[in-house]
Amino acid sequence: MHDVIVVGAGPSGSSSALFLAKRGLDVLIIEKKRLPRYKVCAGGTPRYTFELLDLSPSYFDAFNIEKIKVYYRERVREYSIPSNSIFTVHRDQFDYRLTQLACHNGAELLEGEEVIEIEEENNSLTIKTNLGHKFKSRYLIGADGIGSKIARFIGANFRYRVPLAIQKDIPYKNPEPIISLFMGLVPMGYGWIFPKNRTLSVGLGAYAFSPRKMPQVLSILLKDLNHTNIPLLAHPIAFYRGKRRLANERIVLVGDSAHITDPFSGEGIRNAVKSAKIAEETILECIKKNKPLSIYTEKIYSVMARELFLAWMISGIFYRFQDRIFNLMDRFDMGAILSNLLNERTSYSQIFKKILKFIPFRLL
Amino acid sequence: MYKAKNYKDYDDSTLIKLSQKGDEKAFEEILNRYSNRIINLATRIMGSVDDGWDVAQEVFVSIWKNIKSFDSSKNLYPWIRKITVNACYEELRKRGKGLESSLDDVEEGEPSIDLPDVKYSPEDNYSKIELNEVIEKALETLPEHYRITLWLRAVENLTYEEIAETLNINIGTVKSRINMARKLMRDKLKYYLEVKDESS
Ligand SMILES: Cc1cc2nc3c(=O)[nH]c(=O)nc-3n(C[C@H](O)[C@H](O)[C@H](O)COP(=O)(O)OP(=O)(O)OC[C@H]3O[C@@H](n4cnc5c(N)ncnc54)[C@H](O)[C@@H]3O)c2cc1C
Repeated sequence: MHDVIVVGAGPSGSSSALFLAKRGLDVLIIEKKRLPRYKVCAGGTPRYTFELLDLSPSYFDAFNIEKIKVYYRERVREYSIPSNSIFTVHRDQFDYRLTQLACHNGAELLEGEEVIEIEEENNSLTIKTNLGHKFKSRYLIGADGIGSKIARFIGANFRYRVPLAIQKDIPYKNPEPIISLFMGLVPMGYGWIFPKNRTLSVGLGAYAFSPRKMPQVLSILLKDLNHTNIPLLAHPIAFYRGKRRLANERIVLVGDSAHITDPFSGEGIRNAVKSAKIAEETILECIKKNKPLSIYTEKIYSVMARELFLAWMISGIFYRFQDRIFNLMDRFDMGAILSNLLNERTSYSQIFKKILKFIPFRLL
Repeated sequence: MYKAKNYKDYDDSTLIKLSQKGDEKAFEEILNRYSNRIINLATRIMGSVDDGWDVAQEVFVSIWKNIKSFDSSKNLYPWIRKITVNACYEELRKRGKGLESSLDDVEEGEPSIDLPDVKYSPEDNYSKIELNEVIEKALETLPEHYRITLWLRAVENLTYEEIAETLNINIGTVKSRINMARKLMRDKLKYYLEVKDESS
C-alpha cells in the first residue's frame, strides 16, 4: 500500500509528489498521458513559484521577462519588469522535470493510465485505472486539472461555466523578452503574446464571449506571424468562484482541480504549487496526529480566499472599464506592480484600495 | 496617526461613516462582511453561479459609489440587498428575459409546506449554504420571480412586507408568488418527498 497516490502530473501533482517524496513518503503518481506532455499555457511564472519549489529558474530553462507592453487599440504603454522576477516556461518541460525530480526523490510514476474509479474503505482507498490495474493507498491527491474526476468524487460541486482561453504556440527564433497584453479587444477579457525560449505564445481569454468568435479576434494578434500550420488550441481556465469542499478524510484537491487560478492574472501555476505545499503540510500533520485531511479546505482558503476574492473584484473592474483603466495606467509603474503582485510582495487588498480611490473615475 | 485598531471590531455604522470619508479599509471590511451574502443572493436570483458573481461585481462597485448618500443610522444589509436585487433585475432585463409572466396572478394555493430546512451562514458558503443538490436544481428551474421571492422568504427570512418593499410589489403578489413557488417546488420534489415519507 502506498502512503499517497497523486492523480495527474501537471505542476500541482508533480510538485505535491516532489514535496512528499522528499519527506520520505511512499508516493505513486498516475498520469493518463505519456510525459513529457503538452499543455496549453502561456507559462508565465514569477520567481516566487521557483522559490516555493526550492529550484532555480534555470533548472527549467526559464525565459527571463524584461518588459511588459500594454496595448489599448492603437495606444501602447511600456514598463520594465524588475530583473529576474518574472519568467516563462515551456509547460511540457516544466512539468516533466518536476515529475522526474519527484521520481529521483523516490516517487514512482505510472504514465499512460487514467484513473477511472475510486473506492473508499475504512482505512484506505483503492484506485482503479482504465487498464484494469488497482492500487491501494492511505491518501489521495486529486491533481487531475479542470473537470477533475476526483473533485466530482468528493462532491466539490464546481457547477459553473468557466471562461475559455485559446492559444497558438509559434516557433520563433529569438523572441524579445517582452510580454504584450492587449486590452480593448473583447468585452470581458484580453489578448496576450508571451515569449518563451524559441517560441511565441499568442492567446486570448474571455468570459462571456462567444468561443466561435474568438479565433477571429486572435487573428488580429497573429497577422504578422507565420502561423498557418500551427494548431489553435483551447482550454478552460479554472478561475476561483467561491469556496467549495476541497477535501474529505483521505482526499485533497490541488491546482486546477480546486479551481484556484488567480482571476486577475490568469495564473494557475503559482497557486497549484502553493496548494501542493499546503497539501504536504496537511498530510504530514494528519499522519502524525492521525486526523482526517478535511481540515485542508479551511487551510487553503485561509491562505488564499481573501486574495482570490479581491483579485476577482479587481479583474471585474479592469475588464469592465478597460478604456479608463488604460488611461489611469500612466500614473503607475505597472511593471513593478505586476512583479510585486505575482511575487506576493504586494497584496490584492492594497491594489484594491488604490483602485477604489478612482471609482467612479471622477478624476478622468 | 494611524491607529492599529482592527476594522473587524467596528460595527457597521462606524464602517459606513469611515467609508463615506473615503476610507477604503473600512469598505473592504464591509465587503468582508457581506460579500458571501451578496453573491449567494445574486446567484439565486440570476439562477447560476457565473451570473451571480458577475452581477455581484457590479453591486460592490455600486455600493462604493453610493455609500456617501447612505444614512448610517439605518441597517446596512437591507440597503445592500435592495441594490443587489435591483442590479440583478437590471441585468435580467438587459438580457430580455421577461420578468413578468402570466402565472403572476395565480390564485392562492393550498396550505403550503415549507422548504426543507435550509441553513444559511454568511461566513461559510461552501458546506452549510450548499443546498441539497436536488433542491437546488428544482429551485433553478422555477421562473425567476418565484425563485427570488421564495428565496427571500425561506433563506433571507424576510417578512412579506420586507419582500414587497424590496421587490416593489404589493403584499398580495408576494403571498401568491410564494404559494405558487412552494407548490411548484413540491411538485418538482414530489418523488423525493414521498421517498422520505416512507422511510420516516
Ligand atoms: C491559454 C492558457 C494560458 C495560461 N497561462 C498561464 C500562465 O501564463 N501562468 C500560469 O501560472 N497559469 C496559466 N494558465 C493556467 C495553468 O495552465 C493551469 O492553472 C495549470 O496547468 C494547473 O496545473 P494543474 O497541475 O492543476 O493541472 P494540469 O496542468 O491541467 O494537469 C492535470 C494533469 O492530470 C492529468 N489527468 C487528468 N485526469 C486524469 C486521470 N483521470 N487520471 C490520470 N491523470 C489525469 C492530465 O493529463 C494532466 O497532465 C493558463 C491556462 C490556459 C488555458
